[in-house]
Amino acid sequence: MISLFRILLLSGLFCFGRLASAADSLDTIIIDAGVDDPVRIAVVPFRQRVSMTADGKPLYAFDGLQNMSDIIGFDLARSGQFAPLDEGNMLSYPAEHKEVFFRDWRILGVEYLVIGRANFEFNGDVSVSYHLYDIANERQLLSDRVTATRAKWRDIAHHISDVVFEKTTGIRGAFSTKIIYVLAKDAGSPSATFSLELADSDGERARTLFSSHEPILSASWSPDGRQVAYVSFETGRPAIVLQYIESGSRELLTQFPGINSAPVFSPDGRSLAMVLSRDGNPEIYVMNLADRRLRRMTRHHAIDTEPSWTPDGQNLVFTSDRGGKPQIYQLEMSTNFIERLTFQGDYNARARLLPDGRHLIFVHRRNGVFHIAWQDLERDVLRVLTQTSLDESPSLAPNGTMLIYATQDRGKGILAVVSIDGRVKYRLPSSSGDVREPSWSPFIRTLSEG
Amino acid sequence: MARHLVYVLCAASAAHFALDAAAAVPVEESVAEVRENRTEERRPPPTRPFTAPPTIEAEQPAQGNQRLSQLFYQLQILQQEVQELRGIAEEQTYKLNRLARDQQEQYIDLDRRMAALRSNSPTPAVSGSTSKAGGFASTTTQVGGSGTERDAYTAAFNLMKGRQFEESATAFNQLIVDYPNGQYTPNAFYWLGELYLTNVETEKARQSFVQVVNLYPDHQKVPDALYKLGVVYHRLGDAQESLRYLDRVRNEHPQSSAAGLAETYASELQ
Amino acid sequence: MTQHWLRSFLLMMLAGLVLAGCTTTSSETEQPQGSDQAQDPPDTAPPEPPPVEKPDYELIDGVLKYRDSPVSQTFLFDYDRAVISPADLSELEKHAAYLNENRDKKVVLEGHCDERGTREYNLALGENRSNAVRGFLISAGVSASQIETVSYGEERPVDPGHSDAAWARNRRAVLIYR
Repeated sequence: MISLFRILLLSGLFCFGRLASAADSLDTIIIDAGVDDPVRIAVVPFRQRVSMTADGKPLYAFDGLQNMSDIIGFDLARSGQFAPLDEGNMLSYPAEHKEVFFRDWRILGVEYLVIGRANFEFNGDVSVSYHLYDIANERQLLSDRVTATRAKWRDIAHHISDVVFEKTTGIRGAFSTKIIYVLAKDAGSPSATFSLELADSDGERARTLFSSHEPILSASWSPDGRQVAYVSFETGRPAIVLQYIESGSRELLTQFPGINSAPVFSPDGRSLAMVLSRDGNPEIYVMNLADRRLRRMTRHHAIDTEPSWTPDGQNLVFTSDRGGKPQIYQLEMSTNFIERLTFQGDYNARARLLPDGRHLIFVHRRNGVFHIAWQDLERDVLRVLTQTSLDESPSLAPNGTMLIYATQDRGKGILAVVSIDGRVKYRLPSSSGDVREPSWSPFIRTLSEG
Repeated sequence: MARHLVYVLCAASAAHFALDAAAAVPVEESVAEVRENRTEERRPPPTRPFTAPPTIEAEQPAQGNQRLSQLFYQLQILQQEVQELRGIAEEQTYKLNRLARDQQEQYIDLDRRMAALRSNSPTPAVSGSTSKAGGFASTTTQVGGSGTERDAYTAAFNLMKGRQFEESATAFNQLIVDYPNGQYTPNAFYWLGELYLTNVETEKARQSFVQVVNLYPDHQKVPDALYKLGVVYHRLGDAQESLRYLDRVRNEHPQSSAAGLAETYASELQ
Repeated sequence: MTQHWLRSFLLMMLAGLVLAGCTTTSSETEQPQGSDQAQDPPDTAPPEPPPVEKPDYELIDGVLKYRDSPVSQTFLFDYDRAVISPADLSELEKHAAYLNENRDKKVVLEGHCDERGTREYNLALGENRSNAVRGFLISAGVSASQIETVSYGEERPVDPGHSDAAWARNRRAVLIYR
């Protein structure tokens, strides 16, 4: 099983020393850029206590578990909004409220402080209590306790990152989310394999959902995060497959003559937009998932493809070359009114709308190079977000602050993340092969309630 | 030749109707039904409305095939060309709409400027300045004394440097009245904008900067004025318009120092 | 040739094209058999070929040969275009002639793209490339049931390079005899 990162490389005063030494894999998250003035936060190593049996032997061990503070600190760092304080520069290591001295942190220039403790219960569950402080105002902002099984160790850490992020920035955190992507090994050779991988949003804990000797592409999450629809060539020709993530059970949705491509769930999860060429050439259809009935949405001899839904589920945006070159159009489904949305550049494709419905991200070609661009639909302003080349398949985090996309690095397919304002950037390469076609999950529940 | 093309086009559109009609059948149907239809399509339909008259088929059937494939090829090229024309039409419509909108904005600004001039200046001064503003105005200012205009400008500028803002604003306003087509008029508008901005007379500042941008689009002060309009609209609470001006600086004057300022300002806005 | 004749002829042919191209109906019923040889240059198609003489067309190991020289089975396209190159028309006519003579023979038309652009758009573009060849063959009399199309988009490059030359080689439709 691959893990996409081990090391954090972050220049500047505030940096992480511990993670670098923990490297046991070639794979690296490389943070290329953050905001100019990130929030200074200190995440103190959590105090980890081992329960003893009556004869003094440790009941459970923390072996193999990364300290929770490392995971949280790294989450916050890769958001680009935070600069976590290096552990070596800390003056004290409080783990509970009475050990916190605000002055210690103020002189270090820290704005927020996170402390916590992790204990193993007798049943083997992990119990984590944590606190968040506002140093300038000498105030405790948050105090909570989470209990889950040992297997949920990283989920607990991501949950705490989410809570801290939301409390300090006002934006819902998306660290507990997952990504799905395609890993291609020996692509182009007869022994090529393609696998659909599911991983945490930081690239950790990857597992294979499906693998094949034929290409896989266009993975799309259902809004409840339980299913994924994708295109598989396993039969030698493209087909749309629906797979349940937990059980792994798969169902062939469409395999019409011609292409079956670009499935995307509607916001309510009841329909799937897709591209079929069964009626002659690539057109957009919407399938009602309850009765599997198809409704044809476009009718043009040009290519119509890459549909996606507006957040209200009333319109589809799609790519069409009806104007001679690929551009993005919007279809109002109730009236069939079609409007062109992009006018800058001669290649704009695969658009996705931000949750506000007012902004678009898409693949945009400028000076012959493919980048990810952002466009304000009301003000008609376009901004290129990436400096890499051959960028494609942008997929938004559910909180709309970041997007993941596929790009090339020295001829190798890698994943990369950029914030919507273009200021925060990091890369997720893989040593196992080419990675591509990323799809960011919706908000999902990784810890059971209670 | 042109006539032939018309026939091909007619036939091409007929082909599309037929395509649509054929495709329109399975608009809403289950997957199973679609599969059935597919197999059905492979069988020859019972009636064929467009059977070629036997005379021609008998005469030159093979040539017919060749001509047909040539027509198919022509149809492909025509489709491609129609798509490209559509693209041009879409882009020109878009540009026209934008132009119309910009022009309307310019007109509104002009209208406001005229109104402001009429209400601000005492009647004799207006008549005096309008006569100067006629065809001879530029020669008047050049011949009549660029020295005096420069003096007036220097005086107003020095007042500003001396932090006598109100006096400076009065002087710049007088300069505009006296030399409506003068060499320093755009600069006067610009500095007035700055002075009003300092004095929190934001709407007046806006009007002054708009003058620079609209009346002297090639003037060196335009990038700065655009940037300041971004600032002004932000202060007036119109973030949308603010960003539009900030983006204009970056797009139209990427080399100017104002572009850097606009970049920073815009990123802070978001 | 009168205008009237030409007009009716063109309309008729297009009507046939509509039926052949759009409803994927077999055109066997429309095209009388045995007429296909007339597509060959007249001097090479004797009315009744003697059985000892070698035929013009031979399919050997999936390669179509016309008088011993192989007929091109890969057709290249311009960037972001799905219009057949005029240079390929004569080669396609040869495939059509062979398929018209041999109704039991089937072909698969694969559509491919270079790596630039988005994968899903390229899948559609590859589909349009294979469809362009398919439409041409059908309008040249080949039965739709003899033709299968499949698009691989940018997933199966013939040249893994990232140069203009590699991209040009990858923008193709490939005709494969089954």
